[in-house]
Parts: sequence; structure tokens; C-alpha cells
Amino acid sequence: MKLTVPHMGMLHIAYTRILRENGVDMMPPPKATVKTLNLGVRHSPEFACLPFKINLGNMIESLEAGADAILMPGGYGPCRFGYYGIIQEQILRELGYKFRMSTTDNPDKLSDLIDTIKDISSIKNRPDGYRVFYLILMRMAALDRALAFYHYYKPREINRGETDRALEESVRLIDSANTYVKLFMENFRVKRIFRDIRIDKRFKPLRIGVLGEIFVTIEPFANLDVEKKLGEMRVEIVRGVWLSDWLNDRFRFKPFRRNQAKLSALWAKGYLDYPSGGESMETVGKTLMFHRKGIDGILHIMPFTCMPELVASTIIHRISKDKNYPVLSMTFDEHVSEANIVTRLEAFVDLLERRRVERLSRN
Amino acid sequence: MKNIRVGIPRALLYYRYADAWKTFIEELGYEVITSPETTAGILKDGIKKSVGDLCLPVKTFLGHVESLKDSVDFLFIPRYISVEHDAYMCPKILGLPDVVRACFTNLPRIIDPMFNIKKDKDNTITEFSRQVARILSLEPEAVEKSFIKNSGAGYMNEQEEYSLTDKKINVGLIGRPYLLFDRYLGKNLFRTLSELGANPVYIQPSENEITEAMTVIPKWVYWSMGKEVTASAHAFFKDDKIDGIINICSATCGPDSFTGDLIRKRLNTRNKPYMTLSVDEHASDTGIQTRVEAFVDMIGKVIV
Repeated sequence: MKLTVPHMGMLHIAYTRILRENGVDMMPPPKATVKTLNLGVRHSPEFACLPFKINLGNMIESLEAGADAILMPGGYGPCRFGYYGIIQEQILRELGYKFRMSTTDNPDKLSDLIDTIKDISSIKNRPDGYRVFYLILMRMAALDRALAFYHYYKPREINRGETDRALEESVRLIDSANTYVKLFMENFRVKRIFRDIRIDKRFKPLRIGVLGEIFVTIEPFANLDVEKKLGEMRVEIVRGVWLSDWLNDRFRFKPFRRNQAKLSALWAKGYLDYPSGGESMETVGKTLMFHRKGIDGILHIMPFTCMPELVASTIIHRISKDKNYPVLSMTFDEHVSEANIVTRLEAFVDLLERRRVERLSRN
Repeated sequence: MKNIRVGIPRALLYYRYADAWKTFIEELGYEVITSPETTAGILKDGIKKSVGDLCLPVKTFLGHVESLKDSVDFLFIPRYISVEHDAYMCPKILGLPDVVRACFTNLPRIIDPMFNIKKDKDNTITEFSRQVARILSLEPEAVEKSFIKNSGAGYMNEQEEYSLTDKKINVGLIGRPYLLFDRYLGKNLFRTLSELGANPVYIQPSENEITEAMTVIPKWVYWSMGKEVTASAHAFFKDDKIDGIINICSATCGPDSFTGDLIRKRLNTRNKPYMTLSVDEHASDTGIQTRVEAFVDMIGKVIV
């Protein structure tokens, strides 16, 4: 049985090696390309959201490449995500593929996930399940930490491309760490790799807070790699949504990190009093938080027709008006073009730059 | 009496709870003002007020708020999170009071009690009433009693009018009540069909019908209204007397994009004529009229 799980950011790097070592025949889907997206779009319902389409494309390509089992997380709303697996299975069966589909019923519950791991791997007892699962979580956290370094160093680098190479190297190191001890050591090496990058210490880059729907925000293919584009425009990114934070809110593996959903809810009071699903609370709460912290502007990323983020988007535009705070909302779907994104980002960065100059000259 | 006016926008959940809300608020001693039926003007106001690509019913809701806000002292926009233990409302309804606040300045005070059965099944109504009482400075017990007494009333029981008849062509209509019963948004499908000599049928699926429909599909639908739409579709597909089914949905409706797919592929096992009409602010009456006409014509040919 060759198992595949649709891509989500760097998640596949966190679990592939670990699960393979525990007897799962893992086969991550081929890297998403335009072909993946086209396949997904062709077979999806018209107004399904972008993550659905990319996931479906991933599944089709993996099945073509020889996978015969799919694992898709599920859930019970209110976002559409919980229903993805059902509709995708139906579409794939209609296309004539033969495969086994497993969904986790409740991705918020630890025991459910451990059972899933026990189900697919050679691990048969619970403690081992926990050990493996938390190792995967830690690896995810390490990857996110490397990415945060990347966001910090990229706009400041002196030799173009050095930070990109550092990130690649770090990902490779983290990928090779298959025990807790090794992972602990590699974390130091990753830090050192980034510290060795030659940076311009006097340069103060603009800082843009990146918020939005989690899949499109963390998956470079879905958002046309806006983070790298901004980095190349010498803008520092302060990301508000992390996959490891989302996991940490549920499984508590980072002892010193607060529950981000609850933290955001405190900030969002008065603007959004009850989460409307997805990352709406984080988007609204962190917009207010970033404003207070002096981040220059917000880039809000969401897929077209995303229900929770539409609510959030409406509210953060009001915040933008109330606080005179620049917010750029970008909607991504299969029709979005590179030139469009670049132009809008450039204009936004220009605007922020001008505001900063004005502010500095006033003081 | 005090003559304080409470406004209820005629959109979204109004089409489900209108009577319950109206009598409830009147009983508390306030005057209830509902906005007029949707017109092109109201929708235009709503579109002007909304940011981004919110869906048609929410835009309309904002238009209704606009038409009400200057003539009332309070706006009644409750936050319905869940009305059943295993289903949510749509995310946009979850955030509705906040969206309204974000889109308007100088609004009258909004009464936004939360109705969430998922959170605490036994105290939902108590909690709901407590929040209403706090905003209106009333006695929570009195509010609760009034709410319980009136909560049984549904939206104007027009269902009888839309039951099966001996007419030749019976067309089942499925869709969210706020589209179907809004004469402007729903393009008055009921009348259009009657004029074409077909008989429009609408049902409010019962508890049993919903449970039965949910066993046919692989996973229960976790949106209350999506669940009802799916269940009535299931009932219609089973019913021999129904000759065709029209599903009306808003173009960018999230839940309907998925349930629509389920209905088409899973439930339509007997290959009955089935059509999806997706409407948005650009949908023209003539376009809809033509499609419905063609649909009824086609059914007529199949039957004869």
C-alpha cells in the first residue's frame, strides 16, 4: 500500500521520513505545478475553494504515479475543509481510480490521530504512537523556525540568494533528524547557518504582517510565493499564521508558546466576538496586534469564496479605516496571474515606504 | 407603551424565524419594524456597503440594514451559531453582527444574542435571553419565557400552498429559504413556474427525512441549511410524483458548492431532470425565465 497525503506547506517534510521508518510506505505527491492545478480545477465543483482544487490535483497526480491509498484530514465545520475528503473521493472514484481512502474524523483530537497512525503504520502500541506523533510535531516546529529565520534574514542579506541556500540546507538538516536528540542538535546548527549569512546590520527593512487562510498562506505554490517576492523587494515578513502554531493550539507541544487562537480572540474583542471558523479570529486579532506592535502594514491572503476569511476581510478593512492602517487583501484562485500580484505588491510596498518617510520626517 | 422601535432586516434568517422573532420582541413591549421586501435599490445599497466578494444574500442583508438603520432604535441581528447539536450555520451567519458593524458607521445599537446549542445544550435559551435582557435592560426570566413561548412559530407557513397537486408537472424546488422566498433574489420562481403551468413544490424536511437522507450520503452535512437542502432533494428524488427538481443557490455559496455536487452525483440515482440555478447580482430575470421555461418544456416532453 502506497500512502499519499496532499501537500500543505512543508508538512510533508515533517512526516515522510518518520513514517517511512515506521513501516508506512509513504509517497508524497509530486510537487504541485500548473498541471496539478489544471487537473484539480477541471474536476472540481465550480465554486470550490483553491485548497480543494490543489489537493485534488495532488491526489490525481499521486494516483497516476502509483499511490493506492490516500489520507485526508477531515472535521466538522463550519469551514468547508471537513467535507473535502468526501467530495474528493467521489470525484476520484468517478474518474475510475482504485484506491483506499482514509479520513481522520476529528483532527482536533489527539487520540483520533494516534489511532490513524496506528492504523497505517507498523506501530501497534499507544506510547510509541505518541512518541512518533510528537516527533513529527517537533520537526514541523523546527521547519517553521527555520522559515522565520528566513523571513528575518532575507531582506537584510548582502549576497543575493544566500538566505535561500541557507533555508534549503536547514530543511535538509531537519529532514535528516529522525530522533528527538538529533533534532535538538540540528536546531542549533540551523541557527548557526543563518547567523553566518552576511547581513547589512544598519538596514531597517519595512515590515509586513502576513495573515490569512492557513493553506494559501503557507503553501508557496498557492500564493505564487508572495513571501519570497516580498523578501526580494527587501521587505521583512512577520507571519501571523504558522502550521506549528495551529498544531500547538491543539496538541500543546511548545510549552512557551501561548494558544494563538485564544490570544487573537483577546485582541479581536469588539471587532469579532465569535470565531466564524477557519483563521478568521487570528486574522482579525493579529491585525490589531500587529498594528499595536508597529508593523508597517498587513497583507491578507485568502482563497476565492473562502467563507471565514470573507468575514475577516470585511472586518479588517474596517480596522484599516478606523486606525488608518494599510491593509492589502489578496484573493487567490486559479486565474490569478504573476504580473498582477507583483504589481499590487510593488504598489503596496511603495505606499508603505512613503508613509514611513513621512512619519520619519514628521518626527 | 414605550414605543421603542426594533428593526429586523428582511433577509437571511428572517425567512426562517421571522414570526418567532416578531412576536417575541412585540411581547417584550417594543414596536417591530421590518424592512421592505428586497428591491433593486436595496441590493444596490448593500453592494455599495460591502467589501470584497461577500455572497449575494449577505450583500442583500446589508442593504436591508441600510434601509432600516435611520428609523429604528435597535437592530435585532442575533448570532445563530448552531441550532442543532451536529450542525453549524454558515460561517457568514456566524460573523453577521460583526460584519454589519464593520460595514456601517453610526448604527443603532445591535441586539446580538448568541444562540449556540453546541456549546451548552440545556442553557442555550437561558443564555440567549440573558444577553437580550442585558442589552434591553429587562428581566432575564421574562425574556426567556417569552422566547420559549414564541420559538415554535416558523416563517409564514406557506408550505401548504406548495404541496403536490394533480397538475401534470410537479417541480420540486430546493434551496435556502432566504433565496427561495425572497421574491427579488429568487426571481419569484414559484410564480414563474405556476404561470408556465407547472406546480412548484416546496417541503420543509422533517427530522426523519433528514436522518434518512444523511444515511444515503457518506458523511452528514454539518451546515443546518445545507442539510435541509440535501434532505429535501433526497425526498424529491424518491418521490414518483415529482417530475423535476430545481436547485437555486447563490453563485459563491460555500456549502452549496459541495452539497450541490453531492446532490447531483449521489442522490440523483434515477436520473430525474435536475437543474441548478445559481444567482448573483448580475442574474437577469429574462435569463432565469428562459432557463426555467426550457426546463419545464423538457419535462413536458419526457412525460408525454
